[in-house]
Amino acid sequence: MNNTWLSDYVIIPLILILAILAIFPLLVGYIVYVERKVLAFIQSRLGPMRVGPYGLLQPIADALKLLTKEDIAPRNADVFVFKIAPIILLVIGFTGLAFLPMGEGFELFGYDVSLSIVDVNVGVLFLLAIMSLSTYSLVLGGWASNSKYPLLGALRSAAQMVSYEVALTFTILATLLLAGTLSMSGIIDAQREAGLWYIFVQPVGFVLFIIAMVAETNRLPFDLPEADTELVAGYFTEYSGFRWSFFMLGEYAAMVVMSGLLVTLYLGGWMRPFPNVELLSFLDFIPGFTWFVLKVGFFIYFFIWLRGTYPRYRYDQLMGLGWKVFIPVSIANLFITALAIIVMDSVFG
Amino acid sequence: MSSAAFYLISAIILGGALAMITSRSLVRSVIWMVVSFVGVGALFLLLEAEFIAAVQILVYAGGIVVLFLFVVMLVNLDELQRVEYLHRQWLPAVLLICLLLAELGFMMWAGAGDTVVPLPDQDQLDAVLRSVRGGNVETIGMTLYTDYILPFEVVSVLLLVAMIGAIYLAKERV
Amino acid sequence: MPAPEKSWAATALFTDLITGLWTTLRYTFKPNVTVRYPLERSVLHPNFRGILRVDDDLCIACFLCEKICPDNCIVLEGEKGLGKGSKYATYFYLDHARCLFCGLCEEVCPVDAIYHSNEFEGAVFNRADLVHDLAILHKGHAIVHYER
Repeated sequence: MNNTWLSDYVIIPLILILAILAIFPLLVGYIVYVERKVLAFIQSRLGPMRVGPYGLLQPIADALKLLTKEDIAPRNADVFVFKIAPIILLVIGFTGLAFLPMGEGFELFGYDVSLSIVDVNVGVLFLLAIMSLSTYSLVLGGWASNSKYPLLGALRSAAQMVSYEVALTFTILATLLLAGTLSMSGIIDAQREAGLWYIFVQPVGFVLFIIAMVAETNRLPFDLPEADTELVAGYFTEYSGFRWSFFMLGEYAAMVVMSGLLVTLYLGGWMRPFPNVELLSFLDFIPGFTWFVLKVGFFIYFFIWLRGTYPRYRYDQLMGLGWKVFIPVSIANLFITALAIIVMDSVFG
Repeated sequence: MSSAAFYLISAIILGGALAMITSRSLVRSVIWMVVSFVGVGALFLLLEAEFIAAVQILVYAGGIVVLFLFVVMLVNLDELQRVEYLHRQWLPAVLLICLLLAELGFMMWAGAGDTVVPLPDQDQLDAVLRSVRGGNVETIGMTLYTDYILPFEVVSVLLLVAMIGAIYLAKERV
Repeated sequence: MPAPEKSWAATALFTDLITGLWTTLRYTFKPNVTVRYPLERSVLHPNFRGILRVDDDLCIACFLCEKICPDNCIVLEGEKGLGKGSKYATYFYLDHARCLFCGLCEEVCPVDAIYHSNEFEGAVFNRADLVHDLAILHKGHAIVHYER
């Protein structure tokens, strides 16, 4: 147990974790701000304009409002479960963030700083495992509220997430076959060695992943667990104040985590575009973290863009789509990928 | 360090299990069960078996217990809470527990004098892990698909049979 | 109307979904139509039917507006002119709480004495203040511009 052990496994991760804990809530506030702005622009409106220039202080005003609200639990609720449900979602969302490789490592004051806090060799699997736990938060929150709309939202969320997890896992498996590793940074390295992003090898998988990702994060057009127009607010109807904001934070954290996973799997993570083209090597001075933020930012925008474009699916359409289309297509994709790998290996050695 | 972590995780697992069986509310029991399962996952992680740890959380905590939760949420809780706890089973239960504890105690007492096999140190572990490319995922994969291919396939068929049976039972009512 | 037939290729390539995305993307960069009311005011059409005004120099107290008003919000009385030539209104009350801004009075008025102004900020704290007498109708009510 020497000094590097302490710095590599305790101090630097701790600093990064604290940084994420400090920055991320603010970031989510501004994602919400961007969401409101973009939705407004799509509808030829202006969005928040009153608090600060161009409404830039709106997230802070919102946060203050949420924090000063009363923390209410319904009279017949299971209070213990009701109170821990949002915390579960928040913890899971933040844990997921730890697995994302956000940039190449660099040296700072003689210490190697790795921008992926946890880089286990089964990172993708762990991420999936952690994200699969978020069902609990929605189901328990909806159940504990002891109210009909939350319960309906909870049932929908559980069924939806379990269904789409299958398609998502099969889709990811095809990419993992190509990379030959379960490690997040290993997948990026594999893409660097292959010289191209996996989106060009796995276009079908990419599209499947995007759709399953939207379903997993309960965003429009698959936001049936929330479904404001029919279920009030779904599983968090009865929540208010900061517990409600925990649900929102968790949802946006899940969006960021899934976008990060998508970027890692299909778009080369924090690498610059076309990492093997010498012509573009003048872009190398830009740190990898920037590329990561740009790519993830695009997909956050994409989430909002989808929300502004499509109406909500009907529940049976959603389930039919998941089980009858996405799962067969993702399995076919997996088989074809495996076959192609075997053929390529045997032909080109 | 790692033994401290071991005791901590074990305390979480046992605490979770204890809370699970003593909790009167079924939903809370399920929550404690998840805590226990996640603890088991952490224990696997401590043994540097990341793959099994991830699968433990993914399959047990993330998959199976969700289904438990479904069942628990949809049954009538009020009726279940009125049921007597150890329904005429406390005597056999106590006897079995005493037997188990005696067995464990005997094992500890009998093995007290044995020389402890030292755990392989970090360098040895790393060497083993490096010898199989990709760490323990590939090791498990190779083992499952070569040495234990028959049991593996038998288990697969068993699961398939269970699935078909479940679908058949559900289909009857439609 | 039955949904138009889609080829399987169009379904597989999400052509309709992409068309939708393209539409919203175009609208994202179109100019916004929101008018941030207290800070800026929209340009009103000349035919906008705002708060009613009466030019009592022109009014001949013919009672046509009172008769045609579907809400009976106009009450007036007139007498033969003293040096004014024709009849003139002695009093004229218009209840804006009842008015539905249909514009019939403006249309029926033979001398264009009653007309809709372009003002719309008629909010008051007291309902009685909505009944405008001849003095207010002549020079317009005190407009409180909403600021902030």
